[in-house]
Order: sequence, then C-alpha cells, then structure tokens
Amino acid sequence: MAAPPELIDDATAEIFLRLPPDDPACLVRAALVCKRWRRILSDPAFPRRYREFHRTPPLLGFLRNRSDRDPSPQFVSTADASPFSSPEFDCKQWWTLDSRHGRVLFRCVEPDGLVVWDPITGDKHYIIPQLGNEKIDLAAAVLCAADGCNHLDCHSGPFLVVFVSADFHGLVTWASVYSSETGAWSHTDAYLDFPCCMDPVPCLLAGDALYFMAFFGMCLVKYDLALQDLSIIDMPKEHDCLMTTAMISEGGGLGLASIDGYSLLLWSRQAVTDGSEDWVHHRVIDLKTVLPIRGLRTIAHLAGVTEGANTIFVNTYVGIFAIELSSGQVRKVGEREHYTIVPYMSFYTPGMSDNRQTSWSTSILYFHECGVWCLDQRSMNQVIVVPSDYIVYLMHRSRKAPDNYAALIEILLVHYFVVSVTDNLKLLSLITGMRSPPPPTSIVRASLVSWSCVLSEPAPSGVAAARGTAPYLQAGPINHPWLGFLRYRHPTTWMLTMSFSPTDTVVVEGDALYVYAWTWDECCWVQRKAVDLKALLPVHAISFSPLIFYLPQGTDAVGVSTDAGVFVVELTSVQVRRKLLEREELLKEEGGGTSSTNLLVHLSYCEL
Amino acid sequence: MAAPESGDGNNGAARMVTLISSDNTRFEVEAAAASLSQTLQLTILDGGGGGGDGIPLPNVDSATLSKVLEYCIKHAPAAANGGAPNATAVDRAELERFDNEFVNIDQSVLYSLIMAAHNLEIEGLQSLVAKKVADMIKGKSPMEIRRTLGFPDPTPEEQAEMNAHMLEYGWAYE
Repeated sequence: MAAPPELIDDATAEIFLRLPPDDPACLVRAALVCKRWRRILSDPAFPRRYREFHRTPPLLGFLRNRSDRDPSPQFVSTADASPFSSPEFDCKQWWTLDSRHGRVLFRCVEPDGLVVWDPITGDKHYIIPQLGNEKIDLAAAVLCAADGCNHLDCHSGPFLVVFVSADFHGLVTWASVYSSETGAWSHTDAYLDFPCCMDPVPCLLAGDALYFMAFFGMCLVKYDLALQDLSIIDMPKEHDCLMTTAMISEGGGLGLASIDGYSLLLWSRQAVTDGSEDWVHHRVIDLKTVLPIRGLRTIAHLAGVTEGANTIFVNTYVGIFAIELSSGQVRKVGEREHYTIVPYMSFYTPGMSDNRQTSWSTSILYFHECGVWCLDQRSMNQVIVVPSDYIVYLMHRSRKAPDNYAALIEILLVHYFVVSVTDNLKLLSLITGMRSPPPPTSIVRASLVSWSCVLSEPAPSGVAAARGTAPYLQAGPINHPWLGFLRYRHPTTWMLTMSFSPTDTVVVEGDALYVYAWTWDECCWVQRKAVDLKALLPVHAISFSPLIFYLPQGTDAVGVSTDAGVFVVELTSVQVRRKLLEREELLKEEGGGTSSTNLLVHLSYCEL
Repeated sequence: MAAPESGDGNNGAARMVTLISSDNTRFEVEAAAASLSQTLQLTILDGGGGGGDGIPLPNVDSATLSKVLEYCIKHAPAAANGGAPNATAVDRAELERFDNEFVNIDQSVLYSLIMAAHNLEIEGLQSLVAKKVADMIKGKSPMEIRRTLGFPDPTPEEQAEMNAHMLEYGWAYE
C-alpha cells in the first residue's frame, strides 16, 4: 500500500478531536502511533480544543462504596481501559460522599475527616471537620470555587466543600463551607431549627444551590450558595420516598427521578398559580421496555444520576444500567450494586497526570478526641497553635533540598507518622510503640531548614546506619525557632539528636557524642567534633547508650542522660559542667507525671 | 450559509461556476454547491469563477475534487436552508445514508479528502471524514492504527520509543 499523503497537523488534530472522550485510552494509543501524532496531542492547545469540542465532561466511571468482595470504595471504570485506580487512605474506613468538577469527596473514619481526591493527579486534600462534629452523620458536597468556570478543566483549581449535618443534641441542622483557598471553614454557618437526618447519598448542584436528600428521601435540604442559607423542600405527595433522587430536570432546573414499580418517573419543580413552586410530573419511562432484560423480575432501584449529562443509573438483579435521558441510550456499566453509586465525570487527555503538580494547599490533619490540629496551608511552615499536648510538625522545604517536604504527625506520644507532603501524603514511615520524652505543652514553630536537609540527606556520616529510615522530629522548646529533637531509628538503639542552630546537630551514637554542621555548599553534614563520653563522664561503665536530653538556648552545652544521671557537657571546651540529677530522680519525675522535658527546660534556665 | 444569489444578477437559472483541478480538469458546478467551501465562497461572491475564467485549485486533483463536489452537490440544498431547520426526517435520514456510503472508501482517498476539505474549508465534509478516520482508529493499538492507515513499519528507534511509552501508559493496553 502506498504511503498516505502527509496530513497537516491541523487536519490530524481534527481527527483526534473526534475520538470519544469516554474512552480515554483512544487518545493515549493515538499518541503512541508516531512522533508527530504525539507532538500534536501533547501540544497544550489540543486538550483545550478537545474539551471545548465535546463540551460536557464524559462519564469515566463511578465509585461504588462497598461490594461483597471489597469493603472499601472502588473506582469502577465505564471505559474499557482506565487510568485511575481505586484510592487508598490512611484510615480505618472510608466512604464516597460526592463527586463533582473532577474531584471526589470521601469521608474517612479513624482518623475522622474529609478528603478531596483528584483521580487525575492522585492529589489528596485532607480536611479537618469542624471541632466536635467529626463523628456525626453528615452529607457533604465538593464543587469548584472559581467564578464563571465552565468546569471543563478545573479539577486542580480551588474548591469548596459544603458540609451539612444534624445536631441531635442542639436540635439544629447546620451547614458550613470549607474553602481550599483559605484552608478554613466559614465562620457564618447556616442553620435550620430542627435536626435533619441526612441521607448518605451524593447531592445535586442545580443553579446556585445544592440539594441534599434527607430523612431517607422524604425531603430535600437546599443550601443556597449565594444566600448561604438552608431550607427544606418537600417531595411530591405521591412519590415513593425510598426510591427518589434529585436531578437536573429537562428544563435545566431542579428535578426528581423516582421509581415506582417498573416505571421511572421524572418530575420537575415549576412555578404554580399562587406564585409558589410545586412538583410537576412530566415523564414516565417504562423500565421493562427500556432495559435490555427479559422479564424484569424484581423492582429496579435508582443507583444515581449524573448532573451534566442527565444519565440515570438503575440497579437491577443483572447489573447496573445507565439510561441516557436525552438520547434514550441504555448500556450496562457494572455489576449489581448494593448502595448508591457516585458517578465520576472528567476529561482525560494524554499527559495529564505526567505534569502532576504538588498540591501546595495540602493540609495535614490529625484527629483525636481531645483536639484537632492543622497546619497553615499557605506558608507551609507554621503549625497553628493548638491547645493540646500533641503536636503536628511540618518541615519547611529549603531551596536546596529538592522535593522532600515532610510532616510528622504524632499521636498519643506512641505513634509517629512521617508523611511526605509533596508526594500526596505518602506515609514515609510509621513508628509505633516508642515511648519518648513528652513534648512541651505547645509549639509555635517547628519549621527548620535543617530538618528538611536532614530528611533529604538522611544520615550524617556518624549515623549512616540509620540510612533508609526517615528521621522524625520530636518536640522543640517553646518559642524557639531553631531548636528541636531529631530522632533516628538505629538498628539497635534509639538516638536522640538535637539541633542547636539552624545548621548544627548534636548526635549521640554509642558512647560518643558528635557535633555536625550542615554545609550548604556541599549539601551534606560535616563532623565538627567527636567526644568520647566514656572517657569524659565520671561514670565507670556506661551500660546504656547516653541520650541527649536538652540543649539550653543560648549556651553551647548539652544535657546528656546516662544510667548514672544527667550531665551537662560544654561543647566548646568539652568539659563536664555538673551532674544535674540522678537517674532515679529522673525516672521518678517521669513516672510522677511531670514532663521530663519541662523539668529539664526548667533546670536549664535555673541552673546552667 | 445561504447560497449567494446576487453577484451577476442571474436569478432565473442557478448560477454556475467552474473549478479547475491541479491536473487541469474543469468542473462546472452550481455556485451554491461550491459555496459550501468557505475559501471559494468569497471568490464566488466577488463574481469569480463564472464564464470562461474558472477558479484554479492547485492543491486538489481531479479525482478528489469530483468526490468533494459530489458531497457539496448533495449537501447544498440543506445548507441553503440555513442548516435545514425545516428539513424532514426523511431528508435527514437520506443525507445520513449518503454520508455513510460516501466515506466508505479507501483510506488514501479519505486522506486526500481530509486535506481538500481542510484547504477548501468545507466544515461538514471535514467533520465527516475526520469522524470516519477517528472511527477507524478507535479501539485499535498503535501498531494496528499504523497498519490501518498505511504507515510504514516503525524503525527500531521508533519501536523502542513506542515500547517505552507503552510501559508508561500500561493501563491503556490492558
């Protein structure tokens, strides 16, 4: 066969524009045909043209919350091949609440919270629910926050989470809005003066309002995004409340779909004579004729709707079917589901997940019955002061340490998580069961340039054995920006090191004490001093590895704890200044409930 | 677009224009049909293409041009009705049947048609042929697409690059 005439790029792009958006593998495979095709498809102008050509984001799949085989939500692709895998979260359970504008909202349990997941980039944005409400039943929505957005490609932009829940103690229903831009919940909440039992199904965005199902489908709770208020909309009197879902009506306003027997009934909310609004029943679809099932034996169930394309998902004993209302097309999209599904719609073009961008708005959260902490999401280097004994640290990313931006989450003093902020909160290490000196009661700043260097270059030469496991931060003293503890997991022992300047670190390893300085030029630790503690300390035999306890601010001395007591060692002169207290006293103090760090802080100020 | 009726003031019989292919074949068609091409429309509005002049189309050979004109003649009446708002369902079905048969041709002709439709800016034809090629490559692997469209076999370097990309996009081949 003769070689075809070369098509100019623009004509080739015309072909690519017509590849189906609901099968993203088509574009990806086309991109592999030859270099020229790849170039055309990877031109940033092409995805834009493609989205504008197709206008409505296609259905790429749906999230099912639970099945017989999988207790966790699974992403079920409606295309033959899917770039997405099911999400995983570091919590005991998670549940899909809602999906819109290219994002999926999950509720997490233990620890409790909300997570916004972007399937395309894999980004996860953790959100702390407002204090005291993390455990109650709720409905929530995620939506794009950009003004005048066409929602074709806004999945990585700012978003809002609207949270509606009932307070059965205070007998109210309230709504609150979280903004990813400010990283905070709104101060002005909307209330209804009675508690609504919210249904755990996705809500509907129609116009400027969100509609949540409540009381098992008996009514809709409307949240007006512009007016920021809540109201109740009753259902049509004759509908079957267990089989109803809100949808966009054919006229573009609020509608309902309900199933009665083998009929799918469609309603729209319209103005009636006295100026009020009521439900008008406008279409009936006979499921027995529409569904490609011979002899529909059991009643079908509504499984969900899509907002833009107005597709209704109907669950039957042979599987789940998507009925497109405008074209009348019906196709089977999955196996039978037990729960409501959450459709996911977005454009996916080649190269989209390649330029995965760091989500700088990622927040770190920690939940506990005593309190909630979060990190400043904008500056990424401050811990919001939290009224608790437990702490969350975030390390600052330095100019020279590339892409290694980590946070420490400490829970109950025995569980430590080092998570990477740059890599979707990937857990770098989990350290459990280690009893450590309790942290001071509050931390204002824990962000150290040197920490991030240490993380990216984990081992000073003296602690090379620790390479491979991430060090983690321990508490630093109050209001001291450059002081903190740094722990390495040693094969046999735990070492406590301390940083006493932005760039210096003291390490005790075995019976020796080392001082390291960080050199920016070479980006490595250089050993400045080595002290043999066995020879220095007036102790006959050191039976356990000494630990550095404290390094007082403004001095060059460190407190070294041994089994014979705590000594203060001056680093400049390499002399033992004095013995602070006996080990028994220390243990007694610890056991007696006084924070040993506080004790040492106290000692350092009083006695050194 | 409505077919231009003005120009030479000939309102009785349909105005004819002459198009000349790259291999010097002359095609005489109604101005309304030729005006489906945005490129030709301006010339025709200016009164060009009439009489013995003819409009030369150096990028389109006679085989392709006759095919293009077949499409234009069939679609001109609907286009003259401004996108056929009052066309009957029968008319629309007939056009659809014509379109389906029209693109049922060898891929090399399809390619020539894409280029001609692109150069002459005939939106409907461009869309029809692009859709046809898209349907041909839909669901196929990169190698199958190459074979379908008559691309030469990949060089070892190209093959290595394809393999590397296939690894990267493994999900698209499952």
